[in-house]
Amino acid sequence: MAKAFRELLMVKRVIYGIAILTLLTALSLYVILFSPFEYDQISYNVRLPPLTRSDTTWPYIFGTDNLGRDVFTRTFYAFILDVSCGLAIVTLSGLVGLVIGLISGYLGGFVDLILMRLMDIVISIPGFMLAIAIAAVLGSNIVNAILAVVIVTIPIYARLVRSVVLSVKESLFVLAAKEAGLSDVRIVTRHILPHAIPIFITQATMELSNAIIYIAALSFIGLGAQEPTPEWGLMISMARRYIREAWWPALFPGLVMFLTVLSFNLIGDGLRDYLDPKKRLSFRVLG
Amino acid sequence: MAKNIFQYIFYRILQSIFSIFSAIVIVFILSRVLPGNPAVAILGPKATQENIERVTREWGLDKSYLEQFMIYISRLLRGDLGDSYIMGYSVSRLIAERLPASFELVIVAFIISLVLGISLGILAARKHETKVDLILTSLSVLSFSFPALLLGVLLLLFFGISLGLPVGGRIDPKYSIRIYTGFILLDTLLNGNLSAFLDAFMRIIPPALTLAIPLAGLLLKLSRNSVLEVMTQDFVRTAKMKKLSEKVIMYRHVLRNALLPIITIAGLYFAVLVTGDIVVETIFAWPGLGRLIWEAVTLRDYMVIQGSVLVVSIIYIAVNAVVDILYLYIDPRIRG
Repeated sequence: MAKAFRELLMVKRVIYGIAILTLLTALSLYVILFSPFEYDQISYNVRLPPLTRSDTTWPYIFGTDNLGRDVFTRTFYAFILDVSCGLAIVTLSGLVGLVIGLISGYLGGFVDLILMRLMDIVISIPGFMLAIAIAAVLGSNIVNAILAVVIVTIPIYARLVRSVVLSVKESLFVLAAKEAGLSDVRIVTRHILPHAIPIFITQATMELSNAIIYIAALSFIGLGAQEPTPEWGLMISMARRYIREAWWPALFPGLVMFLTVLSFNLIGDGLRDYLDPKKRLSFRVLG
Repeated sequence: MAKNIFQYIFYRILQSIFSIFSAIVIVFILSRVLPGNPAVAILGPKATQENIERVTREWGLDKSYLEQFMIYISRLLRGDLGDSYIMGYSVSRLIAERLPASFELVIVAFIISLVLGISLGILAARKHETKVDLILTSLSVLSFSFPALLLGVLLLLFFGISLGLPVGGRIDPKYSIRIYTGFILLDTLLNGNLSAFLDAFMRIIPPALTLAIPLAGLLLKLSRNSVLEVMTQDFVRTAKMKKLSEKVIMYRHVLRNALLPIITIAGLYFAVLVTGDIVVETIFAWPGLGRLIWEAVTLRDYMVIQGSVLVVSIIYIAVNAVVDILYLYIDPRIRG
């Protein structure tokens, strides 16, 4: 395990990803602990450009928004919120998808048929569209938005895990375990699951950035977080209205969101190439 | 593949019909789990008793769910998606008015990303393991991490404020253009109005680029890897031994085989375009389907939301089926 981890760190992209994430997390913690501004603290210092001095110990690093709130403080509160939402989505839909995939692949037959048709029904509608339809019915708040994204992303994991289960189900070691009289639960958790874990984790890392984009986009169109919650999509949506007067409240949340999504993509991409020796070769240039 | 080509097409179409039916079922279920009386949700907060009774009657809301579903399906088959009582039109009319704008935007974005992505991908593959390749592949990873939210804002600021070009909407309202096709670029030309065409052209570039850049990055990476993979295969080595020129090998042997997987991916990414589309159309005030969905969400107009979701899903399913069938014609190996 430790050796595998060291080898993984040889992939430069993973290091870059982890470095950016560490930096952003450290900044967020610093902002939450030490920022002289509250994320919802309204002031008369409306639409001040970046780096304007304020009457506190900190300048307005990213400027202020239409209500005089500090964009820097809000952007990094939003980092914690959006990444937490992403993690919650990936954890929930990943676990449900994992269980469905394991059951569907291992049992096969009628159960497999029903579960997979159910997944087919969910993916018949493009994910974001379905998320909009579900969130609109449930009502606009961030918990409902998370729920909507969880529902639409379950099939990704279920199908992935099922395909791994199908590929190892007939292997000698599984047949031997059956012959030895091990219970189904034990065979699945001890002998089949470990084969699905690496590819599952890779997919989950990639999906983390998608989940963040979904949540921000839902909030942007008004189906997620509501004012005064610090959330990137919502911040950009509000700032868009007066973008000709002030560009900073729209740009900085977007930039930090981009860095976050990029770092998860870098880690996921590196993980995938690390696990696939054929790809590792063709991507040697990128490191 | 032992299956006969017509059989394959038949199954693929059957599968699409199943998908469309699933989409209808989901949208129907969602429309019936709305909080409170569905008629009130459809009509909005200002519903009159008279209207509530009419909607209840029209959609059979007092009958069993099965009967409601039959009414729903029979109306759908007649192209009737219900009425938007909030926007004051039938939903199908609202969607039909907005569809050409979205199509035009997506087509322009698609062309930009195909040209940019594939040509740069081939370049990266030919300069394999050099600085050019390194820069291009890094750019591609960067570009498909660009959320439409950031890219849209950046391009809006760049084109609209730094360059001072017209941004937002499809065309300056001062031009009166006769509509023939619904595609503004074609219509302005058909009207013979060159300055209107230029205005429309400048306005479509920033939103189209916002949609195109992430997709171009993905296509770059895919076509690069695909070309590299094909170049190591036996038939390319044979072609090289036959002393064919590099150009002939590249275009006649490598590209034809390397571009196949890219076409399928491009079809799949149609859905991604649709997703980005809502954000992009909202940022650039582009009067397409995405903007309509945003307006409907803002007004809580469930009929429009559900109608649009259904229409987009059907288009998505149809596009994927067409891409799959096209793939069959292009790749002789699958045709068997």
